[in-house]
Amino acid sequence: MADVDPEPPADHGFADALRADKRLCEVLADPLHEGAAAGFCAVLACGAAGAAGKTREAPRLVFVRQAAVVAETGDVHAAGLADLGLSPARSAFVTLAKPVDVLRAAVDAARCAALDGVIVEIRGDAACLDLTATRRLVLTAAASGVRVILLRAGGHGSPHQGRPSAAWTRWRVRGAPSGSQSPRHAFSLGPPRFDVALLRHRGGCPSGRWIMEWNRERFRLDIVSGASGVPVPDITVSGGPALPRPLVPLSDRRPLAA
Amino acid sequence: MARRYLALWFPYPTADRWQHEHGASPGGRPRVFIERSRGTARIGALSAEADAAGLTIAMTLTDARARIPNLVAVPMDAHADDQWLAARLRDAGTFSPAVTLDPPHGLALDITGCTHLFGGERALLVQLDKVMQARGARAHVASGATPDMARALSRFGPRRLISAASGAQDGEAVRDLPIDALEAPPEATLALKRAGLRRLADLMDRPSVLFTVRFGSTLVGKLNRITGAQDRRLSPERLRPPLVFEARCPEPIARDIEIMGLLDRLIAQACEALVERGEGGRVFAAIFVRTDNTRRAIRIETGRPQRTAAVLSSLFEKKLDALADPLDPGFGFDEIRLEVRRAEAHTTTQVTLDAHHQQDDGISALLDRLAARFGRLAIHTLTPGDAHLPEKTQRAVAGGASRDGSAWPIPTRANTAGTTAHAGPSRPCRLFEPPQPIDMQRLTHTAEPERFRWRRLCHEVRRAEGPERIVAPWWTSAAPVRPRDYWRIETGDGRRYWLFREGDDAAGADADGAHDDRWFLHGVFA
Repeated sequence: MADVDPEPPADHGFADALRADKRLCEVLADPLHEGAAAGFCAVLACGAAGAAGKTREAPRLVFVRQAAVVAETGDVHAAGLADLGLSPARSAFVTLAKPVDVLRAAVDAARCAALDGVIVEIRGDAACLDLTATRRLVLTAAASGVRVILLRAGGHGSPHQGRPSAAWTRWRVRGAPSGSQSPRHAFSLGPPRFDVALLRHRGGCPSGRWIMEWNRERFRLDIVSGASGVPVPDITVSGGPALPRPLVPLSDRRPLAA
Repeated sequence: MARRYLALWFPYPTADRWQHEHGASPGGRPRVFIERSRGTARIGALSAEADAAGLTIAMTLTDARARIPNLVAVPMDAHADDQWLAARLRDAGTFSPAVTLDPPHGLALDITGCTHLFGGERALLVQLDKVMQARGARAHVASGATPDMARALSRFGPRRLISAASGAQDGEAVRDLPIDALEAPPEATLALKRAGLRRLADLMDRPSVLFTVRFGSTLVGKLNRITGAQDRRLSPERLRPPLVFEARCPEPIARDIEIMGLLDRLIAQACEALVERGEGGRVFAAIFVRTDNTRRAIRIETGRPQRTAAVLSSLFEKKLDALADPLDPGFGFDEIRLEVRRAEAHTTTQVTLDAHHQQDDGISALLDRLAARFGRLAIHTLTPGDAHLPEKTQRAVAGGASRDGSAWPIPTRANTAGTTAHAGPSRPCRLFEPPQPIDMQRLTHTAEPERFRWRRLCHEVRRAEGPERIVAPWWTSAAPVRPRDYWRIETGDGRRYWLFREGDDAAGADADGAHDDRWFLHGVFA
């Protein structure tokens, strides 16, 4: 099990929040930002977030993905995962059509203590992803010590999207513009940045919002700015107490058409 | 007791195998199988149509094409042919315990004492022929008093099925065979034919000493064995009996707990047998036979050779639970059979201190469980593919069998000067297959992407990194290869995509400077 070492004082509570979560970590992807969320999950699974850059073996992971998510956000690309510090050859990938099957396979995988982590990708509007199902995942993960990361992508605007879950932590992830100072066509994007918000923590850690930058040298996330204790508006859920179900989402964050 | 032998001969084994695996060639076009020797493509095997058209083995492909323009040429696969023949050998093993290969392209069986099981020799022949035809193999079958008689009759006899019931009739059938049936060296055959001796009868009616003096004792010995005057024994192949365990119930059973109990007992027997052989099973099948003789086969597959009863039993249990149409016992099953369909050598690994093997075992057990529940195709692992095209850099292996801990080759950041120290991944973590066409809108005549439309949304490019050119292997496809120029781009709100432009600058730019190129979105970065 890859542990997370705290790196005081710069992490502003981020590592604390992560370290407390050995159970179920729920990551909500902002609309159109599924790529960033997937990358964030991969880095989390690596155990490299906020950790000191020790050389350790790549984790053994099982990806359980819903076929609809695969169609919408693309297939896993091994070279890209390897770039993020994972070892695709040590991972197995399960693709299932029904969300119920996805959860069932996830519980099976979470029970296997030989694994280092399970990444479950399921559509955000899956009706079966309720309090009972997530609670079951939490208990299984806590018993075996396998970190389960639940990535919910798509399904924005659905009443099921922001429903309560038993996850230990809930994060919202979107990409952030790169901090590279070079001019527009200088052949450099700079390292990717993530805009990560901790929406809820069952252990009582205060919520917060950070801008983090991926460190290619050390395979980890460095915190650029941000702090814990900042109240974060849960913009993925619905954007405030609006109509129960908007007919046409008229924002620039329109749901994907797939 | 007089011994009886049976010989099978496959005139076109390669063509039969090909047709069984790939289907008949359209319009019955003649097909040849070619092998390369010393720089020339020569015919190694023929189909029946090609044989009828007058082509011969060892003819060059160019000559053959000159004669028959619509010839279909397929590379020869000697290994597959051998395996095919070995499979036919196993098929024939159900008719007699003493079976051996009779090269080229033949089998020999000692059927002494086996015929009554099939209702006589003639019925055995017909049944064996049926079994072979079901496998797509057209065989010539003949029986005789000696292996050589059966062989001569099957290969040079007048009919496809020859069964000579008694010794006297054997002699009659053999007398009409051509001289070629002796399979003597070509010069001896030619000399006999020049002497006017065309049938075996011509030799049998003359004193054998004449031929011994002229051609040596080998020829006469062969003649004696063909006519049945001299016998020889086969040395049969050792066929490993298939691992099949069955339980016949005195009374039909219908309750789940009884069915599972019986299956567990069979699994325990199978595991014992596997331990004895030093093997582990990869594919198991449980066959449930109902009282009305309806059969249902349940198949499980494991990721590595398995012979632990508890594991197999839980796999079967999971599979039975997950069946879309559950096992219906009706009035009960009266027979349950367990077959080990595929077994492999089982190597016991020494337990090491770092406990990695234990972990591997745990994970492959998990993958087996998932495969039993959701099907083997739902699960895959990735192995590196030796290619540059992004969609070909990984190969999915179904079932999760081949996992190794080797590091994944990370592509170097080619063509991206100045981004060594503090940069992002060079490959996306999500890839769209096939690439998604996008509508690139250009404001200026520059090479970089500026603004594009994808999935009904307009995306503004803030930064771009590239191009990195990736070209498909031109030597594999006949069509001209369009190179791809890949760009890593970032939009204003921090999303990163992998785009590429397909097309050649030189060929694509027309007089106005406009490019005839297409843009695609191939991947999403973290």
